[in-house]
Amino acid sequence: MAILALFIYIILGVLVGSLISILPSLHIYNVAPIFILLAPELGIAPDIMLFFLLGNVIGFAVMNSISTIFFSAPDDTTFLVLMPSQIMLLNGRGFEVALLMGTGCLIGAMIMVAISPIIMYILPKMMSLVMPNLHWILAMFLFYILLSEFPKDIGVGTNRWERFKNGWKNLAGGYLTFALASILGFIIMYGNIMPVEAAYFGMLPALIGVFAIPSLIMNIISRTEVPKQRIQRSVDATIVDIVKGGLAGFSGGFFAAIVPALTGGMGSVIAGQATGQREESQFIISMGASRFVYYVGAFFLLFVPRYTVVRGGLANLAATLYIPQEYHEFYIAVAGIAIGCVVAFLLLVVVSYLLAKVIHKVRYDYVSIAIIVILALITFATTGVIGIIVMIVATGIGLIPLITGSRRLNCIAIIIFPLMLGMAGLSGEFASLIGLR
Amino acid sequence: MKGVTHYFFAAALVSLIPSVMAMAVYERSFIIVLGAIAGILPDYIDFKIVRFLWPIDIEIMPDWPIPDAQKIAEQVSKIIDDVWEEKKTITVQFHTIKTGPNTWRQWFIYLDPDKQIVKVGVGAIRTFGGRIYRSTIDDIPKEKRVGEARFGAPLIYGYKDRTIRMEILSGPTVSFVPTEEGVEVVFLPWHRYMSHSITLGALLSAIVMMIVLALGCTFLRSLIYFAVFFVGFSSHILADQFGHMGSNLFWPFTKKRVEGFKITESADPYANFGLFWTSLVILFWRMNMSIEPRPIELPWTYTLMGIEISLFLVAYLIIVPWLALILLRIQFWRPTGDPYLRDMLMEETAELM
Repeated sequence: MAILALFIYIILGVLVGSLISILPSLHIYNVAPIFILLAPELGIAPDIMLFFLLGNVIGFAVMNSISTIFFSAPDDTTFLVLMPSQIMLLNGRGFEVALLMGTGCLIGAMIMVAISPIIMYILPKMMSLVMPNLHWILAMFLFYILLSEFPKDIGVGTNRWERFKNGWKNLAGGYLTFALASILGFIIMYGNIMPVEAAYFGMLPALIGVFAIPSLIMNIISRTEVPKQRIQRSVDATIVDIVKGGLAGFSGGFFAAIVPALTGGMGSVIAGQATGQREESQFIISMGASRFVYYVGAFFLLFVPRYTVVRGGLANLAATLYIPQEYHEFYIAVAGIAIGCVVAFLLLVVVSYLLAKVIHKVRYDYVSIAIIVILALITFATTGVIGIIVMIVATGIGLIPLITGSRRLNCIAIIIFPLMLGMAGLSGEFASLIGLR
Repeated sequence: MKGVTHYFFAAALVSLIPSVMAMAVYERSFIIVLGAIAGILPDYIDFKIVRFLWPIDIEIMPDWPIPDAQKIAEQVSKIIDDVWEEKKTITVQFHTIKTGPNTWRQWFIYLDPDKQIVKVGVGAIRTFGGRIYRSTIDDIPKEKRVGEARFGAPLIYGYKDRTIRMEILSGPTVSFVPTEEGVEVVFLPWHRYMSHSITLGALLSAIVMMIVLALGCTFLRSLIYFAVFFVGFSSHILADQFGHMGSNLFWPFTKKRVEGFKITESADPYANFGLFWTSLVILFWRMNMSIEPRPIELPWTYTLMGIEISLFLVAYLIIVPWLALILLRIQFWRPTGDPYLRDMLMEETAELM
């Protein structure tokens, strides 16, 4: 009976998490603290609450792709799929993108469930291997992102300096984004500029500014009109696309789940390049898988018995409530992931179907304005005026790649750069360098 | 090889240099990252600097949205004859036909030295990811789909399928070089010319060493930095040499690319993944070795000339995966077209895929 209750809480968590995640940029990590605070009032035991939170994360990991696909408001893990998904949405294939992302989530969940007994064994060892090397591992990823951006256009004309200027337009935009995002991230993390009461929301304004608002502004400026969407009964992907995309996404997401500061998207980009991923559908599936494994996997690590691994903001918070130590709790969580993912996938299909039916009837620029207002209100409510200022500055940085045609991935430096310096013990030196100390 | 493979391969080789891992773990040094950056540098120099500064004499810009195949064929044949008559190298930049934010119309040039003809074909629209929409060929009027022109000059063109493909992003640069025997076709003349040179690697490593010395480090320490940069840089040239195209190994002392070993090619997904995986295993092994006590006690570990080697790691994480990859490659990989061209043209786009 107790086990059944835990499953019910997981599914309840999935439903609540899914509903919250439809709202653009409303991160489950920012809403879950409210549930944690309310739990004692409602008489929910801490161990049960933990399973409810697991359901929340599952729902969020699957459902949050909706805001990227239909509202162009990505977060730090979905912004990479924004471009292919927007192209497909403008071709009337928004529903198909949702199915592809969902398929990725299902594959991610399947592999996670299948290898969960191995995870239990190798994880503690992997963590002790990674942690002393974390600073250079993060730097490896960060510099790869910076150096691997290639000029998209070599320009026209036989004048070599003109060509150089044309080719470097997007590269320079990428480097500028990287530098400014790094500095802003460092100021936020090192400078403690956020109010103490907004500790849980420290990076929220910056992430909203860098990832979500710029594409919404572009929607308003370009007066994007979304055509009538086709409701397809199958996806344009072969079995090879599904397997290859799913495996690449799982590897990237799993690596990101155990390495602090890396996000699923980054891990998946590296894994995708290493496995020769080319097809758009493969890419979208891999992003779905990596996102699921990254979010759910990081939280799931808390359930590894006899070894406490706290990864991610929500796990940090949940660990103050209860840390599972029993094997049966671990396997209930595994079963919960399997069931929860299927429930969330079905919800994704229903919600994206409904949205696909109506999205062409609404003015997309008005929707974008409304979302910006909601995001600004969330930012103000959680972090006050300083949060709004950070959000505006971050929006400016996030607009650079869109204007110059460079990689948005450079924006991720906002998280990784300050953490990398911290791990290497160089924060003080860098603070002196930029005049923060 | 792809950028990500070069990057991790360089890091793996650098981690084998004595004291590098100790510096990374116990001194919080980023020295491995320096080696990895050196590993990606040759392509960085080519694709971000040299290609723009390479002199271009003529641009061939197809009409948009439907190019006139005949007009282009005549342009190319005239270039070949001009090179032969004037004995002057002409470098041509071919442009692609962008049809949408993520789509391009393919077009091809077929050069036949035996019959002395240039054929130009206009193809279907394709996406960045490689999806080809065959029905879009119907958009092109039949008379514009294929063009043909004759040239009089003898042409030296050794590539098997003799086809230059203009597909996505920017098109290729091709030099037509006059020689005693005829007009030689040189693809991407700017690529692997000066950047993929061991001489340049040594020079840049010496500069890194000087900087480290100038920062107040000991000579021994600066020597480690020299070794790290040189190993990282050379690892790129070594990996590329296993392909078809090869590199100009000792520029500025040598002027031509030395042909590769032709074992693999830069677009080969199996070779890329195999090398990437092996690099990860080496890094994992070195990370494990550098921490006391060892986080993972690897089975079947033996000490050979002072180095701990796990046969388990070698057998199950390197040999078995490689065997599986080789079998999969034999079974499933059906590359189309000329490996030389694939090497050269795919390398331009592989990074972005």
